[in-house]
Amino acid sequence: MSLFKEFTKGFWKENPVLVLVLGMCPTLATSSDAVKGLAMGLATTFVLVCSNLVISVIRKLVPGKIRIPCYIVIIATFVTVVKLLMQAYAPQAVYQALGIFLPLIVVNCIVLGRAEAFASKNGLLASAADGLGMGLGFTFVLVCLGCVREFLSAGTLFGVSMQCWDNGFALMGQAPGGFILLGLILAGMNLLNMHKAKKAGIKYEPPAEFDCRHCSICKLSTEEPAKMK
Amino acid sequence: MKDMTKASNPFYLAFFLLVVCGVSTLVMAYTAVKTEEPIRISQAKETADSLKMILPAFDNDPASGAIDLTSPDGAPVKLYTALNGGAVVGYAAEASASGFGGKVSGIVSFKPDGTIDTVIVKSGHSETPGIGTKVTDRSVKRTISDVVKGVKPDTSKLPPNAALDSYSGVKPGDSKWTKDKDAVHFVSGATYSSNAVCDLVWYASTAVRDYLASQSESKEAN
Repeated sequence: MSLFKEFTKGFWKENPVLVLVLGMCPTLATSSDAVKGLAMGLATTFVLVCSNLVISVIRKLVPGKIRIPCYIVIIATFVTVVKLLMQAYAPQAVYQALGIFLPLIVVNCIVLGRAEAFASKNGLLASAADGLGMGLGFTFVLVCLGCVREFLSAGTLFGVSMQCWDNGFALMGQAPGGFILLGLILAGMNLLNMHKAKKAGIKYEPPAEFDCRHCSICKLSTEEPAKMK
Repeated sequence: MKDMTKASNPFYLAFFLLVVCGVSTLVMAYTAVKTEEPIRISQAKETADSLKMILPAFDNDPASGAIDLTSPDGAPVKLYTALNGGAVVGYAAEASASGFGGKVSGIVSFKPDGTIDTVIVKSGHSETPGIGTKVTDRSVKRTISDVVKGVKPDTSKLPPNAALDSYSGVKPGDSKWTKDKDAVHFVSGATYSSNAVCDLVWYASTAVRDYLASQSESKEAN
């Protein structure tokens, strides 16, 4: 696959939130407004790109038995780095609003998922393109969800009043509202894919490799990742 | 025969993990050292900006002479004293309380006699947008028409907030305001946030009241 395709697949075809349905916890918690969603998305993108790069470089050196602890340590390092950088240089309001969800990027399944499913099996540039695409795809969804939720709950977008909605739809500002909205978006995506498949005269089935069956994290195998199916 | 190749030798695995952890520690330590000063500056700037907004003009550095107090309820309170020409022009006390989405921190400014002047809630709280934020936010309201017309927001004065402004001019123990039974402004639907603001103002003002009482006692004794 070309580098461009590796980069763009994260936006729609293999979007981490809308297709892979990974990283639900930060998605629901930090998409209550657009600014928070943007900051969280960019922080995750930084961690994704850096961890993918390092894991891709050392993929042939890491013994299969301890690859997951190694990946977690690498990811945790970059999360600590991004946390310190945001604390130092980002607006305090944004840093404090992200709160516990910033250190929790360590356990975001998108980051570990891409390390195990992609970076541990591919070269440097492809891994960087994959990390950047997935990260920006995640950011895109967080900002879109954040815009809708912020508008419905407070009538603003990025803190600017739109002067056309002042009904204070409180549910959307909270996690259940985010869940409902995300469910509606996923249903819409499925409808769109089914409609496309119907037009092409085939039955739509979600590709098996997009769900957790493609990931080898759960397999307690001692084989090297490259040897795994 | 036992497989003792490099990839399965436990000593090699432990050594490899140790190397990875060692390199990670170095990277984190380097970043921590490099960001220590910017983090301190950023935090000091946030406090200094808040104090400038809520206190009358002062010529000292209130943050450097901050005193740690404890309110009668046991809550920690940080007290800043603003001086102008050596005379006290006001106090500011920082306290926090539990809101709907976590801790809500705020700074309350006082006149020299202990009367509440202004209340601001520090940025970064997790109250519900559109509901809890009605109690906590003093953000400058920008509308889409302002953005289109290029109107710049007025940052010369503190934006109003009915809930926070309702504390101005009262003292703890006044007939107007006692904890849990008050005349201050509560926002319907945002009980947790309103309670959090009420609690933090209470902690700050009771701590300042006791501090001023102890100061006047020591003056009399002298």
